[in-house]
Amino acid sequence: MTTDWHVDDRQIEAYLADQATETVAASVEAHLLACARCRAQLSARTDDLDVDASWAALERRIDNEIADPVVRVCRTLGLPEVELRLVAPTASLKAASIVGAVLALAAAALLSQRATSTGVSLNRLAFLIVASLLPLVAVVGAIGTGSEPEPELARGTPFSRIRIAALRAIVALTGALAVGLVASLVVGGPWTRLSLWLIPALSLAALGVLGARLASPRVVVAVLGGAWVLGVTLAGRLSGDRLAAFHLGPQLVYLAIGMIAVALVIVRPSLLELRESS
Amino acid sequence: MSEHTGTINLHGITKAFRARSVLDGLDLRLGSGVTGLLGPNGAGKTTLLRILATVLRADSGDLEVFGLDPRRDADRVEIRRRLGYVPQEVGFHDDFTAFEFVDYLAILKEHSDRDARHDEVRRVLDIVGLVDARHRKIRKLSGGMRRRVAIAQALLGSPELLVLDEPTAGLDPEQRLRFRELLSAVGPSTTTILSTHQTTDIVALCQRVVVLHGGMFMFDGSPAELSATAVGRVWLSVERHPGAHVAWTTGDGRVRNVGDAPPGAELAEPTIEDAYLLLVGVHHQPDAGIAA
Repeated sequence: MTTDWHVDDRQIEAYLADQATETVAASVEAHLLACARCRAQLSARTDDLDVDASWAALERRIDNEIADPVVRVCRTLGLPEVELRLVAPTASLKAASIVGAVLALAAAALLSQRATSTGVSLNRLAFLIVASLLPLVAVVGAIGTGSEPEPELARGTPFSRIRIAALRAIVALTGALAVGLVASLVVGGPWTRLSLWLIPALSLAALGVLGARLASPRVVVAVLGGAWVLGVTLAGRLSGDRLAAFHLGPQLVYLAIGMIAVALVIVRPSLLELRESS
Repeated sequence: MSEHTGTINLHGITKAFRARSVLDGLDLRLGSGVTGLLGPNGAGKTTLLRILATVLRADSGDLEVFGLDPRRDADRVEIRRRLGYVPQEVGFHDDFTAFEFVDYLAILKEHSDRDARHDEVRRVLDIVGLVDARHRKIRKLSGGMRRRVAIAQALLGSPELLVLDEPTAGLDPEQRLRFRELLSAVGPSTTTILSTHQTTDIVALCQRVVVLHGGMFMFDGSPAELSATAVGRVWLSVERHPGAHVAWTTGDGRVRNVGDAPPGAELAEPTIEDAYLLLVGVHHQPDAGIAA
């Protein structure tokens, strides 16, 4: 079919220089498949091309691709390549968590909007509680039991598990705080009131880091989260002010607790290590 | 025990789980070459290999790898730099492709330069015949292919010590032959210890075989020496002999008996499997299967 026509010099030059139009390039390629003479002509002009190097470069490009959307976001945000791969196993798990967290906060935000119109602070309290628990869930999920996809193999490698856990905790915490801050913007209102969840959230996350060494993520979240909800509820009941647990005094206590927890991790970084299995 | 100057020296190693003793004062020296570890299920093979791979600590005793003490943090890290390990079961992260999985392990093995690391990942995947399938999700790979992925990661950086826990489990006969080729190609200075249920693997691959039973070593020597322990204790007969520990009907219709041969019995050439069965004292019918 195409052997009546042959590729001329000008078309070959344009094709090799990647300057042929799409139609011409397709025609040239179709013809080359059928015409040994033109293939030989093309081959004579491409002797200086290092085909192996081209393939190797192409393979590298393919191997460098990252499919996970969350990891791609991390890359866009500037996380280095090695750290990206270390975060990847937890990041994809976290995609579902992030969706859940966004939905939970959106619901809380909607409730909080309704609260403003009715003058009831119960729904604002719900938002603050959910927002303050979110970093705890994210951090414990990122470093707790089950967070390492290949625990047996990982233990047999020289890479510092402390470094991995710290990295994953920071990424998870950053993501959770970002979701919380966005939800705060959605809720609206005075910034000083909406950010009341921030210090309790950081303190709970810091305690979660310590707890992750001792128990499974579910137990840690249940114990710390349950204690937090109970404490907030009791403080509201006893004082008659539902937001009593978010006043300045308690905030200073949370800050102190969080700082102690962080100091403990800094002094004993082995607290971040995976528990040894039997 | 035979005298081998060792990459690995074990002395008095013990390990118990919830008061159940699994390893009971093991002494062993391992040098370069391939050593096979045989033993029934529950004998302590995996526990021993996990201790050698520094992922589990012994309760007592001394372990030295490359002259280093894994109880010291810095020594343990140095041992791990020179180690390739295939555990009995690998908890693959399903969202990884084969390439991503091995690349992840390469990072954990401190291969930080991306291009060099990716070249190394492709190299080891090529060795196990998976380079063309490297962008397939692990969850879509067959059991044998997953096993090959696990073997590939152990070869990263051409380690000096290979600890392989049933590396041929799940591999078909052709893949097993390929694995033997692969292991034969590993440098002669590498120290390899592997546990397997395939006595044919032991014969084909190992210069040395160690039999572990009840947390203790029952035998340490060459595969030929192990087979030799059964000389005069394997015989053929028309019917199962009541004095045999194990007996089974072979393809030619005769019964192969393993045990204390009666006078005048038609003795047969023993295999490593016969010797193993005699060592661990298996008393069951062959139809129930043979656990190595």
